[in-house]
Amino acid sequence: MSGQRVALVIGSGGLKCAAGLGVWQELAKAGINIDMVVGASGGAIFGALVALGFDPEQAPKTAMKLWLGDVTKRVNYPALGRAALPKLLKFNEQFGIFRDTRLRLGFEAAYGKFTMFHQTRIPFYVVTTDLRSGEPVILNEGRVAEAVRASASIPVVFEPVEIGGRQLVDGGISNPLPVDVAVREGADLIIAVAFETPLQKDVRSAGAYALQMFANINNRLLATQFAAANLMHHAEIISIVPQFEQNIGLNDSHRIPEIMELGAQATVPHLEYIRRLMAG
Amino acid sequence: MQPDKKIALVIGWGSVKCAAALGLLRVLQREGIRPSLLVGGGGGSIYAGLIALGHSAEEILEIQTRLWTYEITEIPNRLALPQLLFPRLFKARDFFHLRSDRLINERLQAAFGQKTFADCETPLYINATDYMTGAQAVLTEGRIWEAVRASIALPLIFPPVRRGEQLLADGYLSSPLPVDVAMREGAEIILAMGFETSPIFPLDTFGKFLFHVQGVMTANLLKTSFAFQTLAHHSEIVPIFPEFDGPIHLFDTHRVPEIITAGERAGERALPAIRQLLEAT
Repeated sequence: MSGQRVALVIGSGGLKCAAGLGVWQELAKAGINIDMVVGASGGAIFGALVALGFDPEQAPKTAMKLWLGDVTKRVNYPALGRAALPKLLKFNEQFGIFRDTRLRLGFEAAYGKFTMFHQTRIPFYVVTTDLRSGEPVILNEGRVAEAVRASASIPVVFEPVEIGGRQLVDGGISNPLPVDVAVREGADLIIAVAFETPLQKDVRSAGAYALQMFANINNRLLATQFAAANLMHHAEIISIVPQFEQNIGLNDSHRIPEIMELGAQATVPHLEYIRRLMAG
Repeated sequence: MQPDKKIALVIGWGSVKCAAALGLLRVLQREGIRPSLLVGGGGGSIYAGLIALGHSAEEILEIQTRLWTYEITEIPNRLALPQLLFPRLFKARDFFHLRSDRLINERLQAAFGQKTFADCETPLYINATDYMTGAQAVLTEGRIWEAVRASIALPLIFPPVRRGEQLLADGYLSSPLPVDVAMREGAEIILAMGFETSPIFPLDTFGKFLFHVQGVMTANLLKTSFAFQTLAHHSEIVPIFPEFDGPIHLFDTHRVPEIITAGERAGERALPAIRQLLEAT
């Protein structure tokens, strides 16, 4: 194959991002090697396995170990108390409805607690957002598990993580499909796995109404960033958008194999074109 | 100096900051520049609507002083709390919103009367969002006040507006600075007045936290859309982003005079670029 640098970019999308592993498996079967991985939020969680050099065939097993079921089982009552009585209990930006214990345990078990970025097999970039400024922050050094944990801080759900004096949250709120990072890092061929945020069917409750607001902005941000990246055309971008018929919740980790299968299926139609691009 | 070029004035989302459009309008009036079409989204739709109806900057200032006062965002929706606590019981009644829209509806009707888009001297486009699909909904007919009301339906604050099959909410969800509408309408020069979202700090209540996160996403959406539209380059865009002394938040209506001054300054800064585009052949 030619000397083209291939990037796998996995956008934000919670557990659905496991489909990125299906994409990776399919590419590996076709003999297409990945030279760098960029991930936001869930995309960083699963992308780390690619960057760390796991065997694609072992991926489903590792992924199940990585994302423990019931990640939103343990409610963070002190945080809820601070939300209810902000003045008395001093509400602050360290807010998340759920404790992140199970999330962290999974990451540390899968990647190794002290695995550093310089130990990854291929370069790995984790996209997070600075909560205060709202700007994207790209992490490429330090502990992998810590960076991924920061990128997975879905606002309101899990609390931010402080790294380098900044409160970092979900990369998806500033850069849901970080194709631009791959462009900057010199990728020639970018395989971008994207996920839309599902829309609510009934928005009459306050929660559903708020979720719809975030879904709408997020989908628009995704579409616009992708359009801009394509227009700039510094690299060939192949977008893979796995289709989900049912909503995938954060606690549905038992469905990882079927999610990966959807990713693999969505990849097949693109293989021929990717091969052609790589042949130059 | 009124050339035959098609000039669009686009006033983006920015709640009370949109009053800066009056400062810009003053500059344009002085220069004798009249937009050939107006596009507004969110708070910007109020000013776009009034300019399209042919009002001068001074008239609009007077209208807006009566329209946009502190109280319009202060009347609580008494059902919000029960809805939050007992969602099943109160579900069917109304969409969740924290503030009552009674006063804002009255004020908008007072400002626009029953005037429709057909009454405009300059073509008017108001940008809203179909809340169920997230798609852009550009309003070009019917009563202006109703279109404005849809475009300023900030989710969770004011209830959305039903229009036929559609449920319409704030335009920023689909396009915070609707330059795209002006492009589609064939504008050659687009004066795009946009507003940055001021980060909220400290985040000492859950509500602030939620609105800040929403603001972060919107700010990123604005930046990306604007970069994309500039890149697409179907028309000349003059970005006009007023700079304010310190953050201005959603309901800071008492700061309108300084906001207008900031808009005027931004307009003056953009003037050389505007003149150059007007003179270019």
